[in-house]
Amino acid sequence: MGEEVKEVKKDDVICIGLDCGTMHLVCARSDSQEVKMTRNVFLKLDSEIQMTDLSEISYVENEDGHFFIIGSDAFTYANIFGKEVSRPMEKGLISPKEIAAIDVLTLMIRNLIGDVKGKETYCSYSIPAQAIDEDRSVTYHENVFARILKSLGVNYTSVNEAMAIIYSECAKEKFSGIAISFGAGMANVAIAYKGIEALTFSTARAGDWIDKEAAASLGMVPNRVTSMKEKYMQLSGEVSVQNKKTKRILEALYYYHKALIDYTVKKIIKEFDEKVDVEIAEPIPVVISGGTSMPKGFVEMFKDVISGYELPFEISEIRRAQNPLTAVANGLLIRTISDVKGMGK
Amino acid sequence: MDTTLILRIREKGFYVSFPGVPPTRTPADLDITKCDINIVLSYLRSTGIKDFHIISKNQLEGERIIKSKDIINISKKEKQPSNNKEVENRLSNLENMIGKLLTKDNGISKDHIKNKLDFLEVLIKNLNISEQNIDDKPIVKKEPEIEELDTFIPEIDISNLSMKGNSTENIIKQGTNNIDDSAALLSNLLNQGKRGG
Repeated sequence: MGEEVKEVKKDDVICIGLDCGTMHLVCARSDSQEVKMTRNVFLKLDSEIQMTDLSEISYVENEDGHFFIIGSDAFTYANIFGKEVSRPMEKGLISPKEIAAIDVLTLMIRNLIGDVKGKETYCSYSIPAQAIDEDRSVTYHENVFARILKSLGVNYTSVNEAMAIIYSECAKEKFSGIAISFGAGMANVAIAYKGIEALTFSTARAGDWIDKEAAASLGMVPNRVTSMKEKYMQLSGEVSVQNKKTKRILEALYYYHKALIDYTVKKIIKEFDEKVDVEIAEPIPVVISGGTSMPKGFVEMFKDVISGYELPFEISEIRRAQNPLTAVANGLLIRTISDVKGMGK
Repeated sequence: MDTTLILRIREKGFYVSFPGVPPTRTPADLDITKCDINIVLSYLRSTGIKDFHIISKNQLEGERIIKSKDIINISKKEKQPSNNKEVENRLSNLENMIGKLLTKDNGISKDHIKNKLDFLEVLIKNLNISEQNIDDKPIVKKEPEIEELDTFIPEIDISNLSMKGNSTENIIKQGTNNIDDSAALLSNLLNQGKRGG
């Protein structure tokens, strides 16, 4: 019984890595040397704002005449008006609060992925691991993104976010290591041995937690704290800011960064002790990634905190991902190409 | 044996908020194990949500889905007045009639009376059996229907949306050689087992 085999030219196959983060959506394509990124936020406009005001920005319009500013423009305008941006995702997962989120998110992803018409397209998209400190299932989130990609005519597979960092950053160790992605909504951890995941988990504490706690301590809107953090935050060296209020924000942020790292390290040790049966003979690297790890001095602070604990594994080195913002998308692209190779295409 | 109760609301666009669960937009799966089921059901009734299931999960019985219409039928069944009172009244009447027959000497033979009593005894025994049968009936007769999760995810409709401008930014150059090399290495590692080493 002969089966018809459709011949697919190599040029007709596109592989994609799509990092679906709380703060950023990042896309890497096999046929491009560029990684595209957009802020995963939108701002619903008040009806009094006129169309002419929107000439320079990206926005989505629906048939009822409502406008949604998308990407970093949403963040800028929200800061100007002192408003909170709407987020399609919250704490690493699709937000149940935003009615319009999924449709707006679909358009943002379509724009980010680009043209795939007439091509056989394969995509690995990132999902977080189940959180150990919050009872929220990732199933709905995983299926929503599957449906979005399906609606765009793309073949899809979900891949753990921290494992994507292992694929991106640990090739020289044959994909053995510990990857920690300090994102906006969650901190994701994967422990891998020779490409196989030994443990994955996430915690609901990450960049948003830092901003929220710091904002609550200082009686401010979290948006403002996020903005200050991205502009001025550094965890080592002399801070060149003179403004007293900004200094206070940065000081609060410093302590919450340290608290976040301490919390995550404790959880790694506990989870490893309880759940990892694999005997890892040789020392393995720890790779730190994610937008929250961007401030100067983050890795040094991590090294300092972890040195205070007795670890159940041996570390060869602690290093930052080559580019913490694009490591997940690159790792996902590597996984997609690997899977497509495995399919013989 | 821990039983988990999940409330699955399929109707879109409701904003659900009742004690024990965080405010949520529907469609949604909500863990209502720790909630008062009567409060949940009355909340759903008051908000007009009709298309929902309650999924009961435990290790022994696995997963069981109770549909909203079955829950409504159960409530109705519980509210039906008992027939026992009527039966008791009729038995009491019969007892009085037999008593009168026994006190009067109206020519009815004792055998005839005994036959009547035997008939009553059989009737009462049958009554007990049929009551037991009612109690033993399972609350949900239908076999649970497991639905695919995919039907639960909202349809995506972007036909009425248009996008202006380009929201992508921060375009970063990357080397593709490393990616191809890493992918080849990963493919070898992951497919080693499949090829028998």
